[in-house]
Amino acid sequence: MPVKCAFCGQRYERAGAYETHLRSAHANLDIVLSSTIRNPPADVLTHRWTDLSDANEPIELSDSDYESDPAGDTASSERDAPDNTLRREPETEVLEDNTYPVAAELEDYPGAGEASGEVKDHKEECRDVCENPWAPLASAQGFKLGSWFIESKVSKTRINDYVSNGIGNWTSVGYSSMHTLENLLRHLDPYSPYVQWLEGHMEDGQRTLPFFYRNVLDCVRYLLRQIAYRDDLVYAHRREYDQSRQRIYAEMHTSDWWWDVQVLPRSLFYVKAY
Amino acid sequence: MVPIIRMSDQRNLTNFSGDKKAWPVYMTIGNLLLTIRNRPGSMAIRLLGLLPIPPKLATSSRADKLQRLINADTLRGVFELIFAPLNGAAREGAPIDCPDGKIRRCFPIMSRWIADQMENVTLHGIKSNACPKSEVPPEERAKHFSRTRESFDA
Repeated sequence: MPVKCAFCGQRYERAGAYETHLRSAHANLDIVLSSTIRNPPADVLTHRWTDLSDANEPIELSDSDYESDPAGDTASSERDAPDNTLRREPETEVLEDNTYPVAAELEDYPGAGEASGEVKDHKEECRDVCENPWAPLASAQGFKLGSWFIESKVSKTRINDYVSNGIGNWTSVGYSSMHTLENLLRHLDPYSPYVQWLEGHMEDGQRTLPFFYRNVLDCVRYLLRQIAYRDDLVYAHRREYDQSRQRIYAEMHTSDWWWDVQVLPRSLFYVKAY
Repeated sequence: MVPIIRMSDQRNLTNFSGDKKAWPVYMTIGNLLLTIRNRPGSMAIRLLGLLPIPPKLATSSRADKLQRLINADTLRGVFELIFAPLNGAAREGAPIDCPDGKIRRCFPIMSRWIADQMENVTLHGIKSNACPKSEVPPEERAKHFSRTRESFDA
């Protein structure tokens, strides 16, 4: 039995597709939905969900198999498209998973995760990323061509050949030889100085073995510096409770371990190699 | 606080040109939400180091036993070298730039080491049938219930 979406009139045959549609197209209704799905208030809703689970079909995660009126088809898919870009929010990320109960009450450790200053040039950096997302390459075409070269393992001489033969439009690409492309690639990751390799030698009495490692603190800096993780980072412990005051353990920062270590006196912090 | 999660495993590269093996150690941080941390495309797991592979030991002679001990000790030394930068930072905290434009005083703490049983055996220098977590000797494992009954009888 196809189900009609209560908010936009779309028809769905499979429960999974309907659920995905609800989450992607009506992301702002997430809080309401996840609570209603867990505690269905009316029998109507219960019937609907059991009917759907009885239909013994593989649940697809794509939002593409909806059945709708032929006339409304194109219009509705256009309506869905811009909403998809809006769904990435840190709070709704947790709520998207229906098995995860909604935290009704939060308890934070006072003072943990507080900022102690501003990063220099952070605004400029963000602006640069927004203005030219393909930096240090000049354009999207240059970036895509470069990544195609690298991924398909084209040799350097062949790339130089390609450029010197003048195939394609080279004005917008921004590099004119493998050498200049390599120089650009070296600056592709602005934080690459953080993850330099170090070399060590180990003597085991008979021979000397080389090994390679990175500065672990710089690796932490590198990971914490990534703008891509901005919405997905937590800096402090947090205790989460649901409506009946039961603790929710879902993420690492909701665990007891984090809180226990947080309240330890600092003199007890020690580094255990393993 | 920045919990550091590390993982490692020995990996055979080839058996033909001299038994080449790689022994990578990876690290990630617990501050990332787990959906991001565990997604392969998010590149949240960094390669921290490639450990030295000790030479293959053929038989368990007395000299090799000594060699095994030396290997375990040198491995310890390697780890001490790799994690030395954390010594001061874990106690005093290190100012680290965060992506929201703030500087935070972070305390990087060792949290977990994800490894399989054989890896734990090598890392901790225990017998291969011993438990890496508890202090139960190998022959006493899985005897929990019988022991409690005895104590009840007594």
